[in-house]
Amino acid sequence: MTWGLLNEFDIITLILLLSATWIYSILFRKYTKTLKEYYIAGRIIPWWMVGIDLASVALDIGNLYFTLTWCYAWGWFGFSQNMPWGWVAGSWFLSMWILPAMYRLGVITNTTWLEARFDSSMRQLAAWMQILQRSYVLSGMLIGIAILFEVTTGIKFYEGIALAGVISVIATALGGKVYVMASEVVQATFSMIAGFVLLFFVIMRLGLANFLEMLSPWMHWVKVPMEVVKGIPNEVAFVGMVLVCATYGIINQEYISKALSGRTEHEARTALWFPNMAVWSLWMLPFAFLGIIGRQLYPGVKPADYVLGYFVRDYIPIGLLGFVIGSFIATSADFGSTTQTIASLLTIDFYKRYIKKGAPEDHYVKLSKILTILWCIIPAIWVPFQMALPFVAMLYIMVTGAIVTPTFVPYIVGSVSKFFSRKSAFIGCITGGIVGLAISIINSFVTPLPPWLSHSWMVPIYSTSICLVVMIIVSLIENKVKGPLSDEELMGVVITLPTKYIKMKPVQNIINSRIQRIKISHLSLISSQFIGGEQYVA
Amino acid sequence: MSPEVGALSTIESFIVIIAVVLIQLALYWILYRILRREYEKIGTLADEEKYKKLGIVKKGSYYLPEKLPWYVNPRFWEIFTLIVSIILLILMW
Repeated sequence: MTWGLLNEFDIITLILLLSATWIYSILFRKYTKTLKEYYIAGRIIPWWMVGIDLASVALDIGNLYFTLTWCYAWGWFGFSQNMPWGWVAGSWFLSMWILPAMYRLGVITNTTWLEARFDSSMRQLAAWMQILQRSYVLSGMLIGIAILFEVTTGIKFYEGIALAGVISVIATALGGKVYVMASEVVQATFSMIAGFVLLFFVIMRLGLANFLEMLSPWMHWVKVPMEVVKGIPNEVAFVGMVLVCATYGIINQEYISKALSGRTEHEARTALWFPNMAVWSLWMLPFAFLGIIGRQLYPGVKPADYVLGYFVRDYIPIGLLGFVIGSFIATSADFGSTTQTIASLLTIDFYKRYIKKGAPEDHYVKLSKILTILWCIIPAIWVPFQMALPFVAMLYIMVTGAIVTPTFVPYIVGSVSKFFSRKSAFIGCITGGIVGLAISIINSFVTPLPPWLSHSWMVPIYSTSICLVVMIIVSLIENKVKGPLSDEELMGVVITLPTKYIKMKPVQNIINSRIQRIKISHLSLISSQFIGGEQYVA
Repeated sequence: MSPEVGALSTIESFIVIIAVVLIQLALYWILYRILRREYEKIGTLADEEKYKKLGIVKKGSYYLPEKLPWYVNPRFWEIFTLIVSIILLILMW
């Protein structure tokens, strides 16, 4: 019995790897009774598991291609999205200010914090931008799985897309976040082993000396032997790319929800750094190397995403193919986690906020599960656009850079300063987004603009800067007219405020009334609770 | 596929399958046990009870355990990662 290149042993291994996730998810069904359990695992996950799962957000099947194709296009420069300069910068804000505030407020979605800090319009804008962004991320994953199926089994591309969609969403809907957190640790382990197995066979066939010779000229962050963006110094392009990547962990609800699943605040903060970043960098290393030498072994492939399939096809012996393909595809468990993220935004930020308030918890959980499954179909609309690009992840850079990136500014500035007023975030983000979109549209459909203005990595610099400037101007005006926001009003939302206020009991009453006014029913505030003589907000 | 890639023997293929099954089962079971234990221990507790049980108190701006080992100290990893990142950035510029 064979299936394309796969023999009977490969098929058995592939089935074992994929079916295990479905069976496993059934064990966790009892841990999905509330929204808190379904979306943030009831906040019981140990730090090391949270860290590995955070790496898994960035390392789903789409991201394996992401790294390989970026390095295929630009050498080691492309790996800088994974050796995370931007990520480190973003994680500082997350670890020191944003995550602790969200954890204490007991929010499930990061956008809920935006409403507590700014207003409901900002929350909606950020939520829908996230839904848009996560949709084309999902589409990238669908394509990734379909390409592997197509190259190695002969299954047709669009049939592969359909198959990919159902592999993990059912398991996620059954087992919720606790299942996702557990299964991703296993899949991360297998995927990492499979990546290094593939690299091992490639080096064996090419010879180590030959392999290093192909690799060495490209092993620089910036000084790669090419102009990455025509007309822009590599150093400037590097800054632009860092900025695009810095936003990832902060605006990404999937990432935040996993961090919020941590048992305690300090474990959630630790997990952001370790083992997250170590796992992440190690996991991506083989794919970065393969991308760099793939440029020389398989020149001119479009979309470049096919190169991974070619490596698997040409270098992995039959009998190991099932393991390698199954391990890569199993990382699509994150596919279910991403659809779950979209379900959380739709359920909590939209349905529960505006359509049906105060329903029983199981009503929202049921809806969440239905949306988790349904949302595996909708992202397929992006597939034709992505397949027409030089590599699939190009759409991510283009759309995120133009209109999604500005939403990262309010998280940063709002978490470290009380200067920024309620309306400033929405107006700033809309203005920044319009500018980014206008530049992209003019460049694509009206007249080509110079690269320093219109390239996907340059646009975020302008859109975020304009967002920040507008936020400052609006805040100056609003603060002048309405008066600045008081410490009491922002207590528990901005944690840089003087700690003396944390001990003030009347403050809790002010926050309670604020919360009631904005009707965030799940944003629970435990006001008269003391731990070790201190009061805190949960 | 290139013809010279070859295939594993039947025995080798069996070893791959057995290894995949055993590693999967072991990891899945261990993780399930850990999570079930955590759930039973703190899953049903309110946050303030959980913090009390885990010995978490407020120190400065953050909630931390009274005795904080270095490997779960966020500040240690913040600084460590920053230094490693800067070194790698300079070395491979």
